[in-house]
Amino acid sequence: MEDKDIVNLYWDRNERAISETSAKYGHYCTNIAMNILNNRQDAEECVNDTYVNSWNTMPPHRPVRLSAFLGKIVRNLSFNKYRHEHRLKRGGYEMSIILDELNEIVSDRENIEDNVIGGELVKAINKFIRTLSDEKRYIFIRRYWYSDSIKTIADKCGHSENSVSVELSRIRKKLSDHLKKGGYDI
Amino acid sequence: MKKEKLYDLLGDIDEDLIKAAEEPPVKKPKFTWVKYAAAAAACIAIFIGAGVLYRYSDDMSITSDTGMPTASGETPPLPIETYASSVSTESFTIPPVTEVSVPENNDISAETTAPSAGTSSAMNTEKTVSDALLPEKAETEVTYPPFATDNYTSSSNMIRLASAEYPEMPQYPGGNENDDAAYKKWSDAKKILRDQPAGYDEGFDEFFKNSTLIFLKGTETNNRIYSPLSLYMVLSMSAEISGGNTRQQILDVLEHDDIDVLRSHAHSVWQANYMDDGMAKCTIATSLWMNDKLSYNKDTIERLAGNYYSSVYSGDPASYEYNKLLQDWVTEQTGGILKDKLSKNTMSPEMALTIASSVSFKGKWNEEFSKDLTGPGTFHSPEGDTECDFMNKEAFGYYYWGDNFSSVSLGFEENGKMLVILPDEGITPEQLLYDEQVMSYMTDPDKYNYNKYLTINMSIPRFDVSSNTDLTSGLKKMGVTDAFDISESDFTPLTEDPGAVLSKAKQNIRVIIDEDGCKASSMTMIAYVGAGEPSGDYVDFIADRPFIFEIISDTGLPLFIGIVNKP
Repeated sequence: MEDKDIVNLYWDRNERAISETSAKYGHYCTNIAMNILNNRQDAEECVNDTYVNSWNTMPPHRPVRLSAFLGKIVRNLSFNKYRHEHRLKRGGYEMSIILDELNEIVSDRENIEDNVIGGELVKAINKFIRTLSDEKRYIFIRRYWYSDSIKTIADKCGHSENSVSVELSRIRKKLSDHLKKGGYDI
Repeated sequence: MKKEKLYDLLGDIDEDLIKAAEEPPVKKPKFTWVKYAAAAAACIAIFIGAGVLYRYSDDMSITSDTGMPTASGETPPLPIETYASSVSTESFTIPPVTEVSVPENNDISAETTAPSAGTSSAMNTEKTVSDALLPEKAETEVTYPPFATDNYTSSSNMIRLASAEYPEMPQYPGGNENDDAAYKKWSDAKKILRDQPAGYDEGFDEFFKNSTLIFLKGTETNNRIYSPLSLYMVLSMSAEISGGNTRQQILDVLEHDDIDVLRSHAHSVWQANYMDDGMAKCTIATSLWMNDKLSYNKDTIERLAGNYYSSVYSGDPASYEYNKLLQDWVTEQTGGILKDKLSKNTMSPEMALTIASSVSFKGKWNEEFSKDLTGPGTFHSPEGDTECDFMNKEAFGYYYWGDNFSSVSLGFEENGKMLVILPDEGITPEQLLYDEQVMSYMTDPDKYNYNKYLTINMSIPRFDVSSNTDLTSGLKKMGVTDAFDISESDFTPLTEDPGAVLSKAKQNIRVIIDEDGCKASSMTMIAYVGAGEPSGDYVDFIADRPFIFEIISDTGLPLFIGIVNKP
């Protein structure tokens, strides 16, 4: 079923919207959740919550790219769950690595203005990502948005794991420089 | 900002970017690689020869191990010498593998001239890694052989019987990220070479395991390096030129039953590992040097050229010119870094046949070691502590461990990797070779399960190690005996002249991991004790005691394996 037809089902309050979403994007959402949580039960819980969340936001929302819309929800829910579990010292080993990698870009101190600059910072990051070549952009987004493992990315790109980790390291450095030049001392 | 906050914010990037990343892009070349950037690089080359074959008269019964007749007054036999040597270095620029150009009449004497005063100094100039990374010289340096000319006759009677035709390998399209056509041409050429029939490397793992245990044995205090791929190619060629049980014994060592299958596999191994695109280099060059008094089978010569990419020459081994041609060939393949070894590997006048093979490898680390972090440290060698420079870095990567070892994998740009394997304290590298776990790791590190992706604080000594191994007894232990026995040897597929016997098999190797322009930077060395899954996300890997290294080609075949006792 086309995305626009699935969205119409939501707008028509037709419960088939959930089953169609699950059929088309269940695997996609589960992958994202598993990347973050590394726990099947928790991941499925987040995916189900994603469907509920979608039901509650459509209408009034009408997403242009349904996969990215669902992905954002499941990523957000999964990461919240990860933080909760992490406090309990459970699961999400790959996620802790990803966060450690991001730690190279930030000071890891909470600043009062972080919430204020959030929107502007995302714009600066978007701008930076668009300067990357297709492959580097893919590697960066797969790692820090989809939370893919290095191995998964390497397999998809046809590179060695070492090459991918080196590439990510370089991109992080460039992003850090880019943000500093933009006046973001984060 | 907290890292969790940044991760949150990254979740809000534009949806078209997220959507676009659902599928991998059409692969494009990586152009962050700077061709001449100073960094860790590896150039490895091997030239191999093995043995001396003798043509003897019916009434000559015994020859010495050096190939000289022990009975006097008889017609001297004609030895076939094959030298085994290999070089592994980062410190030189390997010239392209090219044919020796010869005049149309195939008389190559015109190219060989006697050395003049002062020219030999070119052979004695040490280079560094940075030299290797400088733009390649337009012409190979003058490389006159460092052997005395007095002992040689002069002969212009040299003929090339066959020449290898290498596959076309377009240059890596660096410098123009949008040159899709150039990239596609490069990518397609690489794909064709890599696309070999399934199972083409069948038996190689067993050959690697068996031969490594034999040729790295007895390395309590010295460095020892061995090239499985190089020996594999020389033995394959030896099987091609031998017959009967002589051939069968070689086939058994190579874990093959049939010469046709071996021929096909050797051809595939050659192609799958061939890389010479201006950025990365991994080449296997082979050649056969015949005494011009020896008869030969034309079909066998053609098979050597066609299946093993071998060039075949004929000449007078007593002549200076023929020896120089061999020396030049080896120098060209190895970039000259085996010059000290070459002087000992000239052909003896009685030589009937020499097989020479070189494996050259050059790579640039995926992630450089910063020169600023290189600093002196203590290496605990078996003969006592010694000072050397350690390359240091902290990087994300895979850390491997076993019951008795820990290891890291250092990748080269588009050209394989180097494993550095550190035995636990109290265990020697040689003992570790008998550990099934480590052998399993070395034969297929990608499938080895005990690994963890974490931050590694790495400290590895810069090293320049070489070894000169006599393979004779090792080959005999592996079961190659008839080739060494004048009453049993059979080389009829190559020559009808009787009495050929293998008498010498040597392998010289040199490996250099180098980095120039070091600034002394003191580094605290923390010995990592014991192996096992690291409990945290951070681990020290300090190679300050004897270790094993293995250089693996892009397709996963072991090119070189060595034990470093003294960096």
